[in-house]
Amino acid sequence: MKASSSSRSRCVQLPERRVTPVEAGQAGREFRALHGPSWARWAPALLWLSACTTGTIGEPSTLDPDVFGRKVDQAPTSSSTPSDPTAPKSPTSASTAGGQAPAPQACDGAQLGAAAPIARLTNREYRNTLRSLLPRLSLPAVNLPADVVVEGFDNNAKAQTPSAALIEQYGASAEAVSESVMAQLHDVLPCAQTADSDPDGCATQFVDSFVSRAYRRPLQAAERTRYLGLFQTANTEYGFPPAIGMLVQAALQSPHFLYRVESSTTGPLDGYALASRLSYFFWDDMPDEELLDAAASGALASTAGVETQARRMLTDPKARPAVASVFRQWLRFDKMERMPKSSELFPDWNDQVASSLRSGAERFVERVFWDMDGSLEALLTDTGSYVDQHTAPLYGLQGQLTGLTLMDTNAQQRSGILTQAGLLAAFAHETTDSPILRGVFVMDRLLCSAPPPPPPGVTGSIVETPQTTGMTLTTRDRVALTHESGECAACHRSIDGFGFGFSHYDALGRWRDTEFGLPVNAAGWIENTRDANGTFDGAVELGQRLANSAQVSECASAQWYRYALGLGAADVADCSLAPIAQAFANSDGSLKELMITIATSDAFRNAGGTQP
Amino acid sequence: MSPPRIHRRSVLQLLGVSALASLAPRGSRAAAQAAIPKRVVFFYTNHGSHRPAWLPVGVGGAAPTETAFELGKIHQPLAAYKKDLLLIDGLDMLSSDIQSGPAANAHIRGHCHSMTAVEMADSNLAGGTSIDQHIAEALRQAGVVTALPSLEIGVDPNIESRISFASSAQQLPIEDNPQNTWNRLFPNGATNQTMPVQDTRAARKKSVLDFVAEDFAALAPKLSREDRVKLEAHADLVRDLEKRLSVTAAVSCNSPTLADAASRSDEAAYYQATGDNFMRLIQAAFACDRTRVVTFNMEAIPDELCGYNSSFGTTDMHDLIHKVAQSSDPLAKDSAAVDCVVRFHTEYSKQFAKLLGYLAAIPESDGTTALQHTMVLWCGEIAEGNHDLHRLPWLIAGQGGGSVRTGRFLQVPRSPEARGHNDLFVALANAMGSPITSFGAAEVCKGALPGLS
Repeated sequence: MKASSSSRSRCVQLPERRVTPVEAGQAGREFRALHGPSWARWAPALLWLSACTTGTIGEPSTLDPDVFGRKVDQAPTSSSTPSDPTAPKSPTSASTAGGQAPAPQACDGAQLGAAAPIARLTNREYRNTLRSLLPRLSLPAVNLPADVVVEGFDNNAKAQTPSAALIEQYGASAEAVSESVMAQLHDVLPCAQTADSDPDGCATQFVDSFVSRAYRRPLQAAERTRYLGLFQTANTEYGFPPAIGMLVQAALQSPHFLYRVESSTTGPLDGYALASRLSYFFWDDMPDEELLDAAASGALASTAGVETQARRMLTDPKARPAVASVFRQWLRFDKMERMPKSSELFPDWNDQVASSLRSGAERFVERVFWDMDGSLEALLTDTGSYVDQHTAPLYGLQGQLTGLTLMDTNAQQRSGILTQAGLLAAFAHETTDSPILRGVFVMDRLLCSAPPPPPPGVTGSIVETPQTTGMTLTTRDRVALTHESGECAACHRSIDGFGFGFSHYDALGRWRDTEFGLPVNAAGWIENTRDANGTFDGAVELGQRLANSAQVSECASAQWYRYALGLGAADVADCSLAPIAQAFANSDGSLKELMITIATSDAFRNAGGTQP
Repeated sequence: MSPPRIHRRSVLQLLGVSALASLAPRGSRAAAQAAIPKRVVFFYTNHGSHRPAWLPVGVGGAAPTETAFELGKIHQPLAAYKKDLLLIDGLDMLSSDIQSGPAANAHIRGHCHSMTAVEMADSNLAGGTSIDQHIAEALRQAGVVTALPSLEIGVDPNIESRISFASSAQQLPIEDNPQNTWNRLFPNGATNQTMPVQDTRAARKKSVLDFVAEDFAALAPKLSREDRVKLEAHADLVRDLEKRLSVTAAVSCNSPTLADAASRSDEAAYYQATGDNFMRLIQAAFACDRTRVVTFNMEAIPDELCGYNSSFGTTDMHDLIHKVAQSSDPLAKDSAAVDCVVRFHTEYSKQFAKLLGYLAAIPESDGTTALQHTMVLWCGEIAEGNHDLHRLPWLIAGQGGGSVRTGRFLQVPRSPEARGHNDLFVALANAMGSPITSFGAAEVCKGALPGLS
């Protein structure tokens, strides 16, 4: 399906050549820094700068396609910018937030369920499911091709392209597992004692237990007969263990195992389909006995029944890695997996530091979710950080630490996930910090309003560093100079407004008061949001501002909801999301309650067909 | 270092298999496989090139002509293969020029257009089948059954390559681990290729796949149209795998020993070692006719390999490349900066030469080498560091079994109208036996690019 040109994202095109950050109140500091008395010393640089209109934009070097690939579905509206009559109307969802708050309105009639395309198990789900299916077996390694990541999430059902490599690996994996089963038949068969005397009976028992669990539902009579037929033929030809192995191979390659097959007609999902939705959302894993029992008894037909199961599942240890995975995808922790830094500029940086920073950020969100009721506010403002001996210097902390330790960090410098050094280092370059990457991150992941990518044909990067210009400019100065006019200004005015707020954090996420001997200016501004516009000073204040924003709250709901159903941002229906976002707000922004709310929502519990 | 030569026959004999018997075609595959196979490789690099150092130079001060030219600076590592090259100058990604849809990052846009030559599906994904997949499918339809229909591999695990697409928006994964590719190419392991038990195992696997395919068929009618399309694609691949299993069982083959994986923390060493492992796999795959279509993403040369350092004042190599390609930037006139960018592309030439060496080391039954039966297209996502998608710096190595006349510099006329890379793809597809007349966006496709042979 091609996106029409009318859905093209756009930024506010400013008529004037120069942005006027002075309008943004406190950001006047920024203006003075750029245009004050020392302005003249930069004049030579401007001769060749020529800014964006002739082709300078962004810092494409490490721009992440996904971060930049998101669409803004609606032209930003704010009092300071003229409305664009050609801007497309918002088609959907809080991901398009801007303008009026969507009236919480439930979907009606046939639209009750979310239109979710058939989902294949992600690699993570596949591995976990194998482990749960065969808990007593030592499983072979599985080498599946990586899941395609769309808008940060790896479970986008529409993008799950079956490839030859994937099908081969499913085959190879199924074969390897079947060989393990054959080697450990006694651990797997429910009837190892009677296998010799009654092979058919034993195989029947195995089909009823194993295949049924692989399908995550009872088998239909015809399915059962087919599997028994496969067994009998194979048993005659190859013997008992290979025949059992073939049952395993067949089940593990069946669409009923690899895909979550649901009804294609609208209406309430049957209990087993709903059980799978729940278990893959809360656990990244197949349903356990209790959940399957709830499906069988009809308990999942009621909201209360679903809620009981959902709350139980949240207390199960399997929820921990699953929740960590949602955070990792939502907040792009994958960016922390590779953070090369210049060894010339940062000789103390090494893999151990990077790994400790990553673990620290993971522990931070873990604590917020499990110990602080998943509070969105805590996520954005809590001042505790997990620090170890490798990362203490980055946090300006002294003393010996043994392993990651929860430390109360300087609240003026560290508050919330946005000030976690790991994330700051990930959204930075090898040699410098990046207001742009950081600004885009906030817009995309927390406000659901990612700017469009740079327009085609626009190239280049930010103004030179002092080494080549012979002039001392802060990172902020260089970015501001580059973006001050024309095409760039339209989008970068918003991006840089967020990004400049991070000026106190260098390429490693360290706090700094000066850069190249110049005082740091962390004044930022927010515009084109529904309820967070205005100026702020530094990332700590930015976190507090965002914590109080309904747009951020709706965006968080949208991101978790999308993940729960494997949907792309464009496929989220307003009417499905609105009641969920409302309930999230009513729960004081508890992400834990958000999971329950999503699980008990009409959208989650009803089939919606595949067309939105 | 010269790459190891493959002695196919001796290896097969060592394994206790008669080379002639195992390679002798049977049944319907005979026609398709009897001759020396033609293969195609899409060798993919990023950041285009640096045109002044890419262009060949004329002889004795004259402008370069079709046959009288010397390789440019970037291509010096390819000097030994000059007679095997067809440099193509003047093709544009016209499909990008007509793109009316969503804006996209210039690199993503180039990635998506580079091998599909059609408008994008959205700002992230290509809007059609890529040329490698088209050729793989055409070969399949022509009755060629190889162990793998195509290989999609890449050196850098951190790059999300939007290169190969099964169809619109259906991006194919790029494998970055040579060991996984080895496992796919040699599923029975390095030895014991012909033990009887393996045959039983393959037979069992086939029965299972047959059973599974029926499962899919039974389910399809119960699904919505969109879901059905997805599951039918899956089911087709299951059937296809079933067919290919017999190839795996019938032909035994030499498998290369891979060098140990280098640590990723030493990016230069990792890049070189991984690249080399993949090239040896390509060599083995072709020598044993395991596949005929390879997409090989060599992105991205680590900064260290091209002598990049912070003295340029840029954020990284990528940034430097952009600046050097911008005439308004002082770095465009900074000889050290330009040299660094040229070295970046020259490093790719070295890698390309290495791959050609591996292919030229495969002897064919007629006394030629596999390079003469292969077309290696060196392509990428943009033309120049400034993101231009015109005048692509592309070239073909190898003669493709007589389909390409090499040792030439092909200057595609740009008037009255420039030609799109679609046309080159039509010519490549034709050479590989797919009789198409148009590929990708029809409105910019004028048919097969003339002048290849």
